[in-house]
Amino acid sequence: MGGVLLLDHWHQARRKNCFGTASMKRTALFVVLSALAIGCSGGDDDDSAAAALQAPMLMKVMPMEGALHLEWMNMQKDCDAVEAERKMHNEAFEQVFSVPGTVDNKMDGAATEDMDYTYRLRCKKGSSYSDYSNEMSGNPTDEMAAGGGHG
Amino acid sequence: MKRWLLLSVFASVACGSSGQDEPGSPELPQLTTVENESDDPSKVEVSLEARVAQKRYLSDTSTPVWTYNGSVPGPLLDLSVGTELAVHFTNSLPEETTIHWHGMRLPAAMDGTLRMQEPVKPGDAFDYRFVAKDPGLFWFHPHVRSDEQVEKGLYGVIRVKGTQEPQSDQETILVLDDVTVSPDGSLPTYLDDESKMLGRQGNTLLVNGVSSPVLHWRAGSLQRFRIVNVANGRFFNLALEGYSWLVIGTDGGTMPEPYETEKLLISPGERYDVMLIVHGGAGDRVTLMNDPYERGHDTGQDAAMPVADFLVSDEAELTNRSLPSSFPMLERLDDGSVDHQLVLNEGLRKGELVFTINDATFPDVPLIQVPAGSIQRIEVTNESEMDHPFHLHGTFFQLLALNGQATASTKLANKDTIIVPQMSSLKLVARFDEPGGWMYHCHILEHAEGGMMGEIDVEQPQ
Repeated sequence: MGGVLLLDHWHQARRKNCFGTASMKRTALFVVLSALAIGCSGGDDDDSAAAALQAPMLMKVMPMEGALHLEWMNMQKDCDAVEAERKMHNEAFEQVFSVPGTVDNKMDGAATEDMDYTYRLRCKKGSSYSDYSNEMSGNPTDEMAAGGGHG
Repeated sequence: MKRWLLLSVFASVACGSSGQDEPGSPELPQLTTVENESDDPSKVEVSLEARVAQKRYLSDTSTPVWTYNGSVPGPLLDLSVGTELAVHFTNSLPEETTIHWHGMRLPAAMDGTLRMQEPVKPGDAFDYRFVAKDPGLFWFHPHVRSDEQVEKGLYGVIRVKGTQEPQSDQETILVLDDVTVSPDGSLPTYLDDESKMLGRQGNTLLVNGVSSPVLHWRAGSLQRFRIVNVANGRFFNLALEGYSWLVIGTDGGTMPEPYETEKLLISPGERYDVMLIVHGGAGDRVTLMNDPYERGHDTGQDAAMPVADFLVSDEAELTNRSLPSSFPMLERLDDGSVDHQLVLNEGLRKGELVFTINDATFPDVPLIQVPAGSIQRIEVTNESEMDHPFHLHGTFFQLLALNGQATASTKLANKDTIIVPQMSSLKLVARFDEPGGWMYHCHILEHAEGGMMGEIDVEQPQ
């Protein structure tokens, strides 16, 4: 959890350091956080292809326009796609969207009920997948959670 | 005898250099030139070609961009009030396009919207012809898939000089933009939801097409900056430490009473005309910053970003410069009861983000019909949680009131683009002289494409 909090601070910093010479600092920080992300991602490590791809880091699941908006960090820079899975209540995870590997946010316009939705992400490259990311949950009707959901 | 318009790209600014530039900081480019093909002094006739070209945003790779005549920004068209402009436009792009002349009062058929002309297909041509009626800084860009085409680089600037321009030692046009460039030099083709919501905001700020340029200026000199924000979604909130801006004009020319401000907020599509006197000594450097501004959805948490550096040259200091205190009065349009109400909002429709006017998305926003020559008051209410820059084609408007509070008489200005702050209401007044169909829309281009656009029919006199 400490890692997630640290990353949340980093995410704020990311918004503030998108330009010019800040890129080098960002790269250095990225290396540190990449190591943290390995500890945060779940799943088995016995698949060498999967182990080679780093999972995204889910940063925010927050209410927006009556649905849920997800923001994440792509720890692997050359994914073909980022796939998201969602579960409600105690049901199984199901894929809800797939976006190009450079994208780091997406609104789930179907998540509109007054309930907790839980998400996880993974990177896809060719036929290989990363482990799943950390999980985060959010309720689209919970305006107090507009800052970011919970892990 | 052919004459040349004042234009230039990637040529250095003609002023002294102190030789203290940081390595890699480019000189602020002037804008490109285009040949005037007319011998008639009352006309400017040019050829513009929209075509794909390569631009070097990153040091080690080039980026395919869409351009007018091969450059980003496109050429500066330099005119005087009353000049007839003829543009022979050729579309060499792989998709259809048009040219919209942002802010110009012209015949509707020349406005470049699909309301009034067929799009120019690849390989086809179209002639635009109109008279520059008003002094000021204007710009041109496509009105077909404008969020994508402008993002790829299709924009240029028009400067129309009036008969009573203020004196200055140096006049500089700043074309502000931003762009997202991938490590391989490409521009992204996928529109993510954050970019739909905020408009595309790039990872590189551009001034006249380059990142972090340096402008040399002379101590004691009177500087004039004409600034246009051509970005899709980014608001620029410009601050220059140790200086305040004297705002002498905006979209539709000078204002009767200039005013000072520490921060110059410019939304996409807007223009500002500002002046200041340089202080300090040779080698003094001040950085033009883009300060955070909360336009909704936590954008105020973004960090300040450097835009450009201004460096005092080693030329002798100039003295006895003074800033102007007034300009000719504008015709003030009459206040009165509201004729039309527009409510801007955002929301989800079938799981997708949409941007609405009166709860509808373009082209389903109800048409407004007004008689030619009539003065109309329009109340624009923003019920969404973010600011929207409201742009009206073909005529200027004046701001009568913000949230019911009458605008100070000292702030009289002719505008074509204005920020409607979140959860606020503006009362505007405009006179619709020119018959035809005119668009109005949010100038965050992703919002316009996402539905926040409508039409006004100015009916022909009987």
